Amino acid sequence: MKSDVAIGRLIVVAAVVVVLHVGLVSGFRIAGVAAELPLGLVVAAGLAGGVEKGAVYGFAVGLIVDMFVFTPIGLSALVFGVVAWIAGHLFLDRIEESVIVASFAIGALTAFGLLLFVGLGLALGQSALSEAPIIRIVIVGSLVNATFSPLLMGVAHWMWGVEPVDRTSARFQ
Amino acid sequence: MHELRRRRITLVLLVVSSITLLTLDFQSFGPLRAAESVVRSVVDPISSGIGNIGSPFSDGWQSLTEYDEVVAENQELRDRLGAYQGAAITSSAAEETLRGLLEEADIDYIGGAASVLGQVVDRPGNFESYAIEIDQGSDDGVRPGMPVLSSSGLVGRVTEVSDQYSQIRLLHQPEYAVGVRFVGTGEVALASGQGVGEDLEVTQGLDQNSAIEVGQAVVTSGIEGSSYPPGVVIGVVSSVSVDETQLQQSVRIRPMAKLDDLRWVTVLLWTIDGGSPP
Repeated sequence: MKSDVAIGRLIVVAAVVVVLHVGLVSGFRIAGVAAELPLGLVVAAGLAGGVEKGAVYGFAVGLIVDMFVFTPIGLSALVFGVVAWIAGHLFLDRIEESVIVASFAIGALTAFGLLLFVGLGLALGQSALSEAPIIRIVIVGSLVNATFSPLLMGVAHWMWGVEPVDRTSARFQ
Repeated sequence: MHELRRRRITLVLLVVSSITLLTLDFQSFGPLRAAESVVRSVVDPISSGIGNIGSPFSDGWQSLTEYDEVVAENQELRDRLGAYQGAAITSSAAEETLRGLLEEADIDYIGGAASVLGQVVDRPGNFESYAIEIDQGSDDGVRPGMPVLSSSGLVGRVTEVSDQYSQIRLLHQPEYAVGVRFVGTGEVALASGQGVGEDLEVTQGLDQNSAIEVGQAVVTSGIEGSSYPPGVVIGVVSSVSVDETQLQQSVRIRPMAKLDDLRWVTVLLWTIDGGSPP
């Protein structure tokens, strides 16, 4: 795939997810918690794209998200980048070969990302973060992203221009 | 080996870039603020449009998932409407009374100051903040430091301003102090926020002999150097207890403004140097 097409896809996906996150997702809450789709997207991007591509994309998406929240600019970028970097390592083990394992990875890394966000935010003096129902946000946020993992992985594969791993052949290798 | 090194370098670059951004943000680096403004001016209208299109669905979803809360909220709103209708009838009289009390206590009345009305802008995400954002900025005359009120009382102070938006630090932010005056007794003290949903606590200025009573009205002191003009309603005393060891009273103040449910606020075009900006 041509690189300008690939970059176009990356931008389109990031823009759509951020616009949905800012404008729509906050209205659909489960137990008072909105989905953390951008975090789910960067985990999927890391799983499908690998360490370096995932980390850079996570950083970029996090930076855009930073423009819309009250926490300092750079915090989401750091968290998203690190989470996607870790997800990229899971890619090395071809974790995406199993829908269930990919789903578990997206849920677990979403939970890790949210806890990292709160931890680093508190360390940076963002004491308001401790006022939120953190455990509930982590549980609901990670479950929602795990549920949406097939969609997120599909988007991530399209975005990077890579074919999903053939599960049938992978199973018999 | 080469691959492993590349991955580590990626992580280091990522962390260094983030730390640089955080440092620049803490120093309110101009170009970063400008970039934020540009991104938001592009995304906000689109997301707002999508939000409007999706609002019937999100309302439906909320009705399904939070039916009990919606019913309770509906009842609360009806009760509040009744209370407001009653309050509206007496508000003029109350304002007159307040004006009289403030005059008696030799406090200037701020009621006639120029102001702009701002709508609170929703920010995405699940985490609390001690700040809100409104859709009025420097183009509308808003400047950092200006006091912000709701229809009930003091809300906080403007901290950051862009062309079209302003950020407001709310009164309940811990370590955020405001000079207060107790109406009736005229005593002046310093109160600070204790977090979301918590009353303010008087931290300095009262000894154990101060004659403070529960229900006593509290306004901004407006003493020299204060960030707020005098006479802005803050709230009422919610509790008083004497700390024998510290030889002082522990006084809590319940803000009149509902800080966790603000939709519209008023920015007083008043600056610390004593006047309204042009």
